[in-house]
Parts: sequence; structure tokens; C-alpha cells
Amino acid sequence: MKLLLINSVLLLYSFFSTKHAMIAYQQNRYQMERYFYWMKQTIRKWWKQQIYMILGCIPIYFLGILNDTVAYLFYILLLSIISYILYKIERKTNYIKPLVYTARIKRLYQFIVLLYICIYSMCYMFLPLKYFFFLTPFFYIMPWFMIIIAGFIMNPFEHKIRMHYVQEAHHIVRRNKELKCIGITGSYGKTSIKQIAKYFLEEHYDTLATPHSYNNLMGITLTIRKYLKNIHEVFLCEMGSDHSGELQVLSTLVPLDYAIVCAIGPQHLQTFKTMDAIIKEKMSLVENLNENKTAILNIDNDEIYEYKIKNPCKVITYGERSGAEYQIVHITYTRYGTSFGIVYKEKEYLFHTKLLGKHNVSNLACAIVLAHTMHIPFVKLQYSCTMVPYVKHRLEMIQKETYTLLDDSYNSNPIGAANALEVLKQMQSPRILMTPGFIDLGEMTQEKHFAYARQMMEACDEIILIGQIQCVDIIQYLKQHHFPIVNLHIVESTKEAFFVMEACMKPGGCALIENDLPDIFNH
Amino acid sequence: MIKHHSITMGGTRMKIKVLVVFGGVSVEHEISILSAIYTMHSFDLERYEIIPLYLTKNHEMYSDEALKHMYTYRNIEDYLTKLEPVQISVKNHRYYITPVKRFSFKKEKEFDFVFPIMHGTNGEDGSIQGYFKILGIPCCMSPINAAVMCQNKGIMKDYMNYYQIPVVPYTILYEADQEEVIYHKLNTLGYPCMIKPCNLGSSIGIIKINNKEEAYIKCKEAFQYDTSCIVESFLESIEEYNIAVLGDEESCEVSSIEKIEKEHAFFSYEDKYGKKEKQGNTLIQRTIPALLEKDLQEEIEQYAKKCFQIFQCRGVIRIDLMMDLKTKQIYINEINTIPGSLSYYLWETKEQTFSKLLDKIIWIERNHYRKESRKIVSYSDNILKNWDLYDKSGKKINTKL
Repeated sequence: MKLLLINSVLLLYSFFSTKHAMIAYQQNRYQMERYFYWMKQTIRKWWKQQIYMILGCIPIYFLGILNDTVAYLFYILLLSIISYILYKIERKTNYIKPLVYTARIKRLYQFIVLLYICIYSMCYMFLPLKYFFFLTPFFYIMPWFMIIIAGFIMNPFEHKIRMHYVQEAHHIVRRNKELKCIGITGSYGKTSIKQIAKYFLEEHYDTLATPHSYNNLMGITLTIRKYLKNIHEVFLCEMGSDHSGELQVLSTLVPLDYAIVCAIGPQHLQTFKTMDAIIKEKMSLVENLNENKTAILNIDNDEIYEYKIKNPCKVITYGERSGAEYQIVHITYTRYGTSFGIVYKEKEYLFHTKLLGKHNVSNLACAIVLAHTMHIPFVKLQYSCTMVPYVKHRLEMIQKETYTLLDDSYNSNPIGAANALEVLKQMQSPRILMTPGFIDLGEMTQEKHFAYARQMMEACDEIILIGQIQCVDIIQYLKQHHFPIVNLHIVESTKEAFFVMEACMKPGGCALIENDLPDIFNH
Repeated sequence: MIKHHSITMGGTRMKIKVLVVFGGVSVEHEISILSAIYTMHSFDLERYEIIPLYLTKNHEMYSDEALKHMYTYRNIEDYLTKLEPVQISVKNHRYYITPVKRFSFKKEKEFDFVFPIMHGTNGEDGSIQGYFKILGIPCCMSPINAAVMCQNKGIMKDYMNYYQIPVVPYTILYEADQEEVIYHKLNTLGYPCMIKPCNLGSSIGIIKINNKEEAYIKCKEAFQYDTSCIVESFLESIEEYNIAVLGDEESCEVSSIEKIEKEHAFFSYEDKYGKKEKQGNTLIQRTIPALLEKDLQEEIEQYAKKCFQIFQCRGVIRIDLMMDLKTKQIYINEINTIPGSLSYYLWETKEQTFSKLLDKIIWIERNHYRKESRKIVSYSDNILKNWDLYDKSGKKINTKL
């Protein structure tokens, strides 16, 4: 009975910390390497919290002096109170990206609970009472480490389950022989291209695109199993990769008819280690194509332009660079939209769009090339281009009552961010930027942050930085270059940033939200 | 069009699953069954998998392979006792028929398109399209607006009048109209005349009013079928024509014209469907294609296309016309948005088999559904996210139980 009570109350007590640990594990994509790196980064902040926790648990240590039964009763009571306080705090917490209760997370939690019960029971049975009480604060931080153990034990089973689903998805795709599969990869711009291409293609073909930013093996597998129907003729598949060999697996799962590489940049340099590895990985999508299939490449990107393709498949190029089969020319921007021309076989076709920013011209051009290759005439595409809606949270212009909001919160690459600042520059004052900077740029983080800060100084009147540690390079640069300190605001959460923005805003002004990172990265 | 037919692309394509919906609470229930059975057997089974969905007169839905065959309907009540009713459900943009009973051994069946073959009220009047539209399921044939307007003869004729399409002089009577109002309307129109319930088809409830004396009684008789009736001038000598139109908002094509010669001046429900042995022999004579002068043929085709466009029909419709032999004036009489047997016989002379016609109807719906899914119909943002309710004094109302 005592054991049961102790176990229940301890499980309750550790529930919230387990939840936080699982959020971290999930947002690090269940990858141990990424999780370790995140742990290393976070541990500094942890120490303080843990000391508070240990101090908070001091009353428990005094329970050791009481007789057994009374001590237990007080122990249970105290833990219940602490759990209740934790529950109250949890209810007030707003997560940008909350825990998604997937089947995998549920399995992991069940396993962790089993481990907890074993540990609690062993400690209770074999340790003297005062030591057991002493361990209580450590039970609170245990989940972050328990995830590692559970992860290692569960991984082989999870792998088996995943492979079963992947096989099933592969079978579904192969069964539909008429389905045209299009793979879109690149360091940035994939989601926008996918959404624009979907808009162009769906009028003429039954089109399925991977939803949101689903771009890894399980995201694509889930899309196929859940959404792919008999009647679909085109499958637009965003393919992301943050470690070598991932794209090869994805293109085996979905045999591609068209492979698009839109840009190669330093994203995920931290996991890839070198730029060469990134280039090799992204271009593997083209190298793995069958000979009679087509690759569509953005040759404005130097890495793609310089890469020598070994595969004899058909290659179509686009970009501003001369020599592109579909050459982008005469780009003109206004605050209300963008116009550009595409020269194909020496004839120029004019396009107009409400989308903003230079990178969106490239994204549109890519989608136009794909649609045109799939037999949709330019005249239809010209019309579709004028109608194409904003891609959600990607330099989306939202007209608020008194000011304009440029929502670029899903962008996380330096080039997109620079283009967004170019758009902001054309807007009326006050021009306010809210950003937490970039992540995952490895050794290039400082260099990119300095460049970004330089661009900020040219484009913004007010800068709101989210996360003191995360934005340290930007702050350093802005201070060194005498950016008015009164116009620089450093906050700790997105919510706080919005308050500051609203306070600084004046009628007619414009605010840009750039890269809205999940909470766990904001520090 | 970029690509005429995805289905003709060749290779082994996965079958498109078509849910054929028929029956329903309508006086044309049996006609719908006949049309549906014929249609289900006319689909190209290499391309389509047909799933029947039978709507009983008691508002229940059943789906079973045997419902594709005529012999099942000879004793349908008994057969249905062996089956479990089904319902339509939607999950992840996929559409299923699932047993109503929980923990049933019967599995859910997935389908891609709905093909309604329902005639008359509670089906052809737009309700079946409405049902599937709410669920977001692509449903072939004309949309709700067209179906509603074409089903109600009063609205249809008013609308055609607006677009200067000739209709026989008419007036609309309502059940609530006072006796003197009815007399006034009828006197203005003149006798003899024909009274028809606004929302019924298949010649049900059509009554001839010869003079003022019998007018009121005949009107009351007609109101047994509907709350509003249309009264049209009676034309002594007429020639009737039928023509079908196939297409969508962008383009349409017309079928051959059928000429109908009848023994009586008008045709009852019994004449049409009841005494089978008589039909085609003495009562009615059909000529397809009708041998018409070029001008007349073009005139009929133009009117047919115009009707199709103004009502924004889709799929196949049949338009019934008539010509006053005295004045040689053409009048549009009726528009069927789900015609009996889908008017396949009108296309045969144009070297179009029924199977091909069905192919085209499905393709039209596919095309339309793709276009419609691009339209903005709702916003993804949830404006209620930070919304609270307040009472008059400004105090927050706690709606949490």
C-alpha cells in the first residue's frame, strides 16, 4: 500500500518534468545527437533552476527525523502540494510548439513510467528513508536523463515500427503507376515552392502535397498513408535532410519523376560538418534519378551551378544567370507586389505577383518551370501567378488596423531574412523587426549574425531581439556600430516581443516577424 | 484543355471508386432505381469500381453488391432486413461508407466520387448535392443552385423570362392564395390551361383546367401535391422535343434532338412508366435524331446551351421543349438536372456510348472539384483563440461546466 502511494505521488511529481523532457526530445526530432547538443547548451540555465528545486525540497530532508509513518504521510502531502504548484505553473505556460501526443510519444511515456516505477520501488525498498528523501529533487531532473536511456532502449523497436509504415507507404506509391512524384529539396525555399507549385498544378491535376513542413521520412510516410488516394495524379513531396544519406532514403521511398534542388546554403552545417557534405547530400536527389527523369535546378545558387552532375538524366535550369533554360529577367518590386519576366526559347513571358521579396521570384520561377514542364501553358501560369496566395508565415503581408505586419516567422535562413529586410526597407516608418536570430548554422553562426545585424541597421528603426544568449552576436555588432540603444530591445519571449512591438508602433508603420523559433531554442 | 482525360493516359491505373446514390423519398423512387441499375452496369469496370448506395423511402441508406441487380428490388423490403444501414463519414479528406451499428463486422468502404441518380424531390432538387457539399465530397452533375432553380418550375420560368428565353405564358398560384386571387390570375391567363405542381416532375399532378367553373376544384386538387403550382396556357397542337447538354461552366456540347409524338395532348405518370406494354407502341413515338430544318435545329440547340449556361449546370441535363404548331414558336418546358437514364439515348447517334458519357461526367466533376478546392471558403485562423464572452456588466462569463 505504502509502495503504491509513494509510486503514484512520485509519478505525479515527475509528470511535468517528463513532459518538458519529451518536448525537448520531440523538438530535437528524436535524434540523440541533436538532443545531447541541446542538453549541453541548456545545462547552464538548468543549474540555477535545480538549486532552487533542491532548496525547495529542504523541508523534505527534515522528515527524516520523524518516525516512519508520520514521515511518509508528510512526504506524500508535501509532494502532492509541489505537484499541484507545478500543475498550476504548467497551466499558465504557453508553448509555441506544444508536445504532440503521437503514438511514439505515448509508447515512450509508457516505457518511462515503467522505468520510474522500477527505480522508485528499488530506492524505496533498499535505501534508508533519509536517503530516499534526499533523492527527491533528483527525481525531478531524472526525466531528462531517463529520456536518453528510454530512447536508446526503444530505438530498435521504434525503428522496426517505422520501417513497417515506410514499407507500407512505399507499396502505396508504387501501386499507383500513373502517379507523378516530384521531390523538392534545398536548404531553404522548399515549402514555398511546394505550396506555389501545388497552386499551379492542382487546377490541372489531382495534386497531393506533403502538408505543413512535413519533409522527413516519417512525415512523408504519414502523408502517403493518410492522404494519398487512388485519384491523385501528382505527388509534391518536400524532402528535407539534416544528415547525409537521408535524401537517398526518401527518394527510394518515393521514386521521383522530377527532382528540384532550389538552393544550397549553410543550414544544418552543425550536423553536416562541411559545406561539401551539404552539397553532396542535396545533389544526391538528382544523382539518384532514373535516366529518363528530369532534374530542375536553380543555377543562381553558386553551389548548384558549380556542381558537376554525373547522372545523364534530363536537366532543366532556371535563374537570373545567363545560360539558364528559363531565365528570370526584369525583376521590379513595389510595396504591393513583384513583376518579372521569364525568357524561354528566346521569348519573354511576363508575370506579376503579390508575393514580396526576391526569393519569392525564384520560388515562383521554380514552380513555373515545373508546371510548364508538366504541359501547363505559360498563359495559364501567368494568370495563376497573379492569383497565387501568400504562403502562410512566409513574408505574408497582413494589414492590421493601423499598421502592416510582415509575417516571415517560418523563415529561418539568412538569405530569406535579408530579402525580408529589403521588403521592410520599402515600408513606411517606424520599421520594426522582431527576431530571435538563426540556429543550426554551426561555425558560421557568428558570421551570419554579423551580416544580418548590418542589414538590420540599414532597414530598421526599432529592433526587438528575442533571447539574450541566442542573439549575443547581433547585440555585440549593433552596439559596436552605435545602433541607438533606445531603439534596441532585448526580450525573453515572443509574447513579450509583441508587447514591445505594439508599444513602439505608430500608425502607418510596419513590423516584420522573422524566424519564430520554438520556445526550447529561445535562450 | 490541357489534358483531356487522365484516364486515357494508359498503363495500369488504379480504379476510381464511384458511389452511385439512388432511390430516395420521391414519387420517382422506382424510376431512380431503374436509371441507377442501368447506369451502374454501363460504367467501364476496368476504370471504375462501383459502390451502390440505396436510399430507402424511410430515409435509411444501404450499400450492398446485390443492390446493383434488378432481382433484388422485386422483394426489397425482405432483402433490406438482412442488411445493416450505413452512413457517410469523412476522415483526412477521405470518404467512407461505414455501418451505422458500432462494432459491426462489415468494414468501411472508401470512395472517391458521388454519382447521384435521383429524380424529383429530395434528390434532384439539390438536396443530395447539398448533403455531399456539406461533407466536402465531390458530387457529379449540376450544383445545388442549378438543381434548386430547375426543379421549381416557377423559379425556373421566372429566371428564363429574365434572360428572354421563351416560355409558355404562365402564372404561379400558392396554396395560401384566396379564391378571388386564384380566379383573377386564371382569368388573366385564359382557359383552357394546365396546372402543375411546381416541384414535381414526371407528369405527376398535372391537371387540365377547361373552364372557370372547374378551376377552383382542380387547383385544390393540384395543391395536394405541392404548396405552389404553375398554371400555363394550354396549347392545342404542339410538337415536343428533347435535347441533352453536357459540359460545365466553361464549355458545353449538345446531343441529338429527339422528337416525341404522343396520342394524348398530355402524358400522365401512368402513361410514362406504368403500362409498359403500351409504351413505345401506340402512346408514344420517338424519333432520334429528329428530322428538323436546319434553322429550327440551331434554334433549339442555342436555347439549350443558353439554358445550360444561365443556370450554371454541370454534367448532363435534359431540356424538354415544345413548339406551338400554330405560331411555330419554340418554348422551353422543363429542365431535368438528373435526367432519366442520364439521357444516354440522345447521345448514341453522336457516336457516344453511355460508358463514354459517364467517363466525361466524372471527368467534368474532377475538373470542377480541383478548381473549387482553390477557392477561399474559410480562413484557417481561429479568431476565437483569444475570445471571451462578457455579460452586460462587462463581467467575463464562465462557460466551462
